[in-house]
Amino acid sequence: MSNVQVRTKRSARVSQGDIFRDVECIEYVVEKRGIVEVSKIIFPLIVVLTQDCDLEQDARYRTKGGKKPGNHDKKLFAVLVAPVYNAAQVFLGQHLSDLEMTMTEIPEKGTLGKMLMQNERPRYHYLNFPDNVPIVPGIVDFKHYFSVSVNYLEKVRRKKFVCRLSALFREDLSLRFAGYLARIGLPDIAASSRALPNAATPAPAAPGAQG
Amino acid sequence: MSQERQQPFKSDYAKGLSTSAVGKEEGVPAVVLPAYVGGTETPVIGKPHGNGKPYRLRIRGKISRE
Repeated sequence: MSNVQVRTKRSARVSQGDIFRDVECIEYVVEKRGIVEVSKIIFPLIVVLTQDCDLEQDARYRTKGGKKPGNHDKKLFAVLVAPVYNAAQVFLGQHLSDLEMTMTEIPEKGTLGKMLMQNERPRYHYLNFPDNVPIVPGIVDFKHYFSVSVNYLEKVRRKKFVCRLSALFREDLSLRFAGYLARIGLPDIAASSRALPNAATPAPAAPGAQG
Repeated sequence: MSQERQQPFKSDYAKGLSTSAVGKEEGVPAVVLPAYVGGTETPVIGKPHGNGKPYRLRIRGKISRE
């Protein structure tokens, strides 16, 4: 049963909640003695996370014929995106096997799997698309966000656009991502207190030490 | 350096086709390290997108200074 609504018509610019296919993430580009090597990861599906108002302001610099802003204050370098993995593969922990990475299994029928599908696990966002949308159930992994050049995305977006999350659903995604990114990692106090020596007990003196 | 590569559509994965980049710079071949070999997706009828997995491409080529 779907938990999201989408629009299949492409807008005139890159928008938050847009889903694109086959998007490249450049790992590195190195040049040595005239030979350049490029390493990139190609993600079958990604969703745009950048705030829509930022994208809207950035798009004003790219309008043809319209009046462009007087300066480049609102221009973006990159768009924040996150991969949408095949849910069935995520549950098996196999979605990154082609990158030689093994991920934790999440039993689909177990508590963790059910929590994930109800979007109760902060790291993940489950998307089950309606039957008329040609995408299998997917899981956004907020930990794997990355950026792509605005120019690159503009260049490929007509060809690689798949669909766009409807307003309410992209805002839900955005809010959950913001919450995940803003989390505060607290130390495990119990574990750290076990690891630290007791301050009240003096350290044993080294052999030959005086005083 | 140049790159020619077909987009990894479902048919590529399903057929297990190897996709590779081709370099055409002054006799120095561009090399994909390692070449991606598909065949891992789970086809879902009527759902052509989202079946594949992320994969890595490494491409090398000689810089052409013009």
